[in-house]
Amino acid sequence: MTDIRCDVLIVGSGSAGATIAATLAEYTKLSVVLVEKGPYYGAEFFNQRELDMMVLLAQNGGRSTVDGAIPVAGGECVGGGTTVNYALSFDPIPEVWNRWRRQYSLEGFSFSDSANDYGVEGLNLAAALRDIRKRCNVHAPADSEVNDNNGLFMDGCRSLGVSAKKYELNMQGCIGCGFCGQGCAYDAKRGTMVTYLQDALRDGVRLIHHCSIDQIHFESAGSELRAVGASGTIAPTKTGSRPNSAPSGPISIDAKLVIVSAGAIESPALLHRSNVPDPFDRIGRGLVLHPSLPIAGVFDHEIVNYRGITGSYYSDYFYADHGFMLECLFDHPIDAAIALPGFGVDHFDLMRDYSKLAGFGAMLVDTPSDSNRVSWSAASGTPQIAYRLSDPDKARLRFAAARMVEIIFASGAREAILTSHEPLTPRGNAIFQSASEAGFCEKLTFAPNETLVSSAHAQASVKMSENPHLGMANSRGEVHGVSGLIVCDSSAFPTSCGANPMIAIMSLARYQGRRIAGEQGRYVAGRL
Amino acid sequence: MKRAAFVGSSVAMVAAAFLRNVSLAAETDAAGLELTVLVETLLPFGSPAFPAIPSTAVVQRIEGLFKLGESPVFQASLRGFSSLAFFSTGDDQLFAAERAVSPDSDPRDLVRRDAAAFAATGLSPAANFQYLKPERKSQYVRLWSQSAFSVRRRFYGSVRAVTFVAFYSLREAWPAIGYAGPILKGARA
Repeated sequence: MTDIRCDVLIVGSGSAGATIAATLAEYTKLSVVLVEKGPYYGAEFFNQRELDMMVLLAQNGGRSTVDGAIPVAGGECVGGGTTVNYALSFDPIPEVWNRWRRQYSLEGFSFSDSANDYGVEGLNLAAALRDIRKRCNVHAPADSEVNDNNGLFMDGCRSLGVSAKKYELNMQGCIGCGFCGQGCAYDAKRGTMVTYLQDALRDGVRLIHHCSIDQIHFESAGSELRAVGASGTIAPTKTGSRPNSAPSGPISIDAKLVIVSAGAIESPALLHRSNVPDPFDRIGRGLVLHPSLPIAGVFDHEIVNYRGITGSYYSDYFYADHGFMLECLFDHPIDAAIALPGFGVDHFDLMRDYSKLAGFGAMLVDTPSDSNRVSWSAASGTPQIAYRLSDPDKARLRFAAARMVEIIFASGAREAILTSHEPLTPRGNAIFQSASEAGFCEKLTFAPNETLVSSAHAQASVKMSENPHLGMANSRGEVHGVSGLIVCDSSAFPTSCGANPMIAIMSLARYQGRRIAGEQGRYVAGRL
Repeated sequence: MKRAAFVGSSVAMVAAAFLRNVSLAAETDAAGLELTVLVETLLPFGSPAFPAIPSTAVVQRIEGLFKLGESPVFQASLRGFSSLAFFSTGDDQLFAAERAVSPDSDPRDLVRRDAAAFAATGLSPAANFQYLKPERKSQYVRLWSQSAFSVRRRFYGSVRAVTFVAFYSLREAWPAIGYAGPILKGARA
């Protein structure tokens, strides 16, 4: 039995957890323990084999909505999503946070550089973002780093008058191997594992990986509950992981402050199974996923697609009016094979053209609905993700699909392929032969398990709101009615943050870390 | 072609989850129906340009990765698939599985739609999948891919996904599709 006492326990080492751990270590003398459910795989483990690297993902990549229709990807390893994502970096969007201020009564989160939120010197979101951008080297790739796939996407957009922009990426010294999604073997992707986690370790934070938290512990504090720690299990260290700082077996951790940063699927599941008071039935509700629909185009010539920086260009042309972004990315063969429709000779013929494929996708900012929720299932031992696309969201995806068909033909494709088994065209498939067929996208029903829609951006399942009817936690991330328990990750966003969330999550975590440092008396008065 | 590591790899493993949770009727003589028969419909072994990898090797690899043989539920699902008669009818287990994921669906309506699609193919309900001619096998698999039942589409998608994971992760499969694989060489690759 591992028995630990500390000031602050942080659950999860992804975008949020590693950042908040490093920030607390930088600004306070608090003792901090950071636990991660997954292993500590480093650059030496990442072998660029698509299948082998599925171990980096939650449920080995098998996590999905309960109907099996939407895969919901998440990193389950040290660094979390930042270890397996494509380094796509979007600053927090002020309009979104201002809307949250109005609709969810959020406080703080000033975008003004001179603001001192909560009376804490220098506490504002602008400063937090500046720190993140610097530490993770967020910058746009050079023109010389743009591969064929991204170039074709940009050409197609431009020729139709659809504006396209360069992504910013958190990278340094990228060699363009094309395996961002399988873990960066060169430490060139500046995720939290190589940035804030290293800062945290240097500054004395204790990392325990392979550690699942079963329960948060509470005691009564007057009319309130107070979180006093957590317990769980440390699994035997998996082959290829760096060594652990505690032996396998049960673990119990006493803490004055518990910070839940396990991501928008695991965080609500942990609160649910810990029986956190939930008088307004808010845990897990209003989950958003950024449902994404890919397209592929077949060209007459070979294309550099899976090599080079995977994502260099995106378009927000349709964002304001239709709520989706077009984002250029590409798949290695397993993912490509699963995404491409059909089976048998037809499917293999598509795969034979793999080196002539270009691809991108639409990422929808989905409409929150209380019926979409994450809950904990003791029977299955996994979080249950109940999610259905709403009718307006389906309509927007149909519109997006049609625009994607037009764009990929404008970039020179001879065929356009949607990831669907629906008989959309007169030929009974989802393979389009000209831009004039884009209208067939209107027939997409998005019935589950017929058209592949996927998610890598679960958010908003333990929302912040000063109004406990709208959210589980206040603007500090403190769970309503419980002291010593903070939620800080993408689940705390009241709705979608409006873009690929990594940098917004890290900014939130940097902000909350500095706030906690400035308001230590609120949490750990006994130890000051 | 987006969410690279995410899109497909996730779908791939969905199979295991589905197969644990959903069971189809097992009321037919499916003696000896093996996954191999279905895998041989999903991948065109022996066709021109197809790599010289035998179907048995792919099936063994599926077994090694996903342990489907250890799942009685998967075996029952496979038997349900193999009986063509079942496609036009269904049973309480199937309806319950469907209702669990789409509570607002009407099983009678779904059965009617699948029966109509089945009738249009001219396939014989008395047949068993493994004894169909190749083009008839494809026709039947296509019915599953477009079934009115979400759980039937899921079964198709799951078996398809585990098959493609097992096959396209093989280095020997890459030359045929022009994929050069990892840049890292030596011990790690």
